[in-house]
Amino acid sequence: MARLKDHGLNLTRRGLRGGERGRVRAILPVLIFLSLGLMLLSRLNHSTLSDARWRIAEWMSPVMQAAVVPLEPIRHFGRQLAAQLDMAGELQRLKTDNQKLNSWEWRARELERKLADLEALSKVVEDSKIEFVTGRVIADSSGAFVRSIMINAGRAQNVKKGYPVISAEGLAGRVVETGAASARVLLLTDLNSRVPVLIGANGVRAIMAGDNGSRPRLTYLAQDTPIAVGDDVATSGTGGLFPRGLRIGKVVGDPAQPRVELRARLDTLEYVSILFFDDPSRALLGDAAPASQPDVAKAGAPQ
Amino acid sequence: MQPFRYIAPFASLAILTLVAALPWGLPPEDRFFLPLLPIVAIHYWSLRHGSLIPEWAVFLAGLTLDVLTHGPLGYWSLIYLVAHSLAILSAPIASRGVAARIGLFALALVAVTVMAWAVSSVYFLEPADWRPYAFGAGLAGIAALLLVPLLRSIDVQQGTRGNPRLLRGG
Repeated sequence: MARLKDHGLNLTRRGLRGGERGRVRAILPVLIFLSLGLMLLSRLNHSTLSDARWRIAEWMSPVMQAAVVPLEPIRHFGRQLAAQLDMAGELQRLKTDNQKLNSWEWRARELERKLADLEALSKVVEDSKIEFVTGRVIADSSGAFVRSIMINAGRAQNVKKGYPVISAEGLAGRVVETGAASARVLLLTDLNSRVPVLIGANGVRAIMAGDNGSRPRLTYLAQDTPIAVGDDVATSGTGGLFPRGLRIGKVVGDPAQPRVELRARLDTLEYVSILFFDDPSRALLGDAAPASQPDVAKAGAPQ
Repeated sequence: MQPFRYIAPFASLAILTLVAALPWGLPPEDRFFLPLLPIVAIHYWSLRHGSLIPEWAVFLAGLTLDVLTHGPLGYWSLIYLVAHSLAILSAPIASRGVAARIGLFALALVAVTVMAWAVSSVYFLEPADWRPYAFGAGLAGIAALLLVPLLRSIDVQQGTRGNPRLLRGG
């Protein structure tokens, strides 16, 4: 046996041989260099890389869909546990909310009646109803870089790039990439998210900008703007990316540097609805394009 | 059992990579420990049986996570490769006992977390908040206490390590 070991033929131990232990193979520096190269290309936002990445993610979406199924009971158990732990506080909160809502219900009915009368008098064109489709969240971002989710609805369900995405509580984000049966949604908290908003009863306009934190900032506010903590924030519809009036949240924090407490709980999203909302101004541009330039008209119309 | 010897490292790494990308319903700042879970598997297999988990598998696991979480490509590949090389380099020390292996894992986790923070700070060209990383490393350490026994249970070679019959003659 000792002779076998001397000849480097130690067959009694499996795995690494003595000489291999603690030795790094030559491929390792190559792969590290490749990783650094990929990171650099990602930083430069190289289009080829983005396309390839999305294709791979789309290819993996059936795996993720299957993997989410056993996760459901665990998430349900977690929710139940959290609800049980917070039962007393939740009851008190619901009682307070109920009292407030009772008074608001009466006021809302009154306003609804007045609005219907005014609309009838001024012959207001009714807003067209927006169709939607509901999808399940199958992957989540983790780490410091992005705030996005992957859903199991894509081009097959008529989901297009740019469509707003809402949860039961309010606006969650917008579709930024679509595949055949999956799509990626950029959340409102992402560093690259910008949403034109209206704040409070005065309808103050601002841009809500994500910074990868849980509360997006309100930017481009004029000085001495009449906004207060607790004011409602909703989409303004400016730019045509989102329809007007989608609920987003409330103003919180320092009035000099206001932030938005989102209604949608983006960390616990399970199902989201994608609104089939096309920018109306783009449709107008498409109609107005000269007949001799059909390609230009097509390019202007929503894809 | 022989094919399982090769499948176990790949399967555990693939499963933990998928687990890291699943929507667990956690706040973003509490989610930092998830990408550190595959590191537990990488460290375990590389430290004990480095030849069973090749570098390209580690690289692909990181790349898959980058694709699924939509982070910069190459980020987790780089971190996982560093974790792999740390485990390979410290393999001779690991044979000194359980305490040495625990100590090596703790050191590797700290080193990898610091590197993850440093690389993301360089990527954004400003220092990232270190607290989610530190909290994530703590959670990953706790998760390792659960994961390592699981990995040991699927480690076919583990049973032969202390067998005097197989070691006799040295």
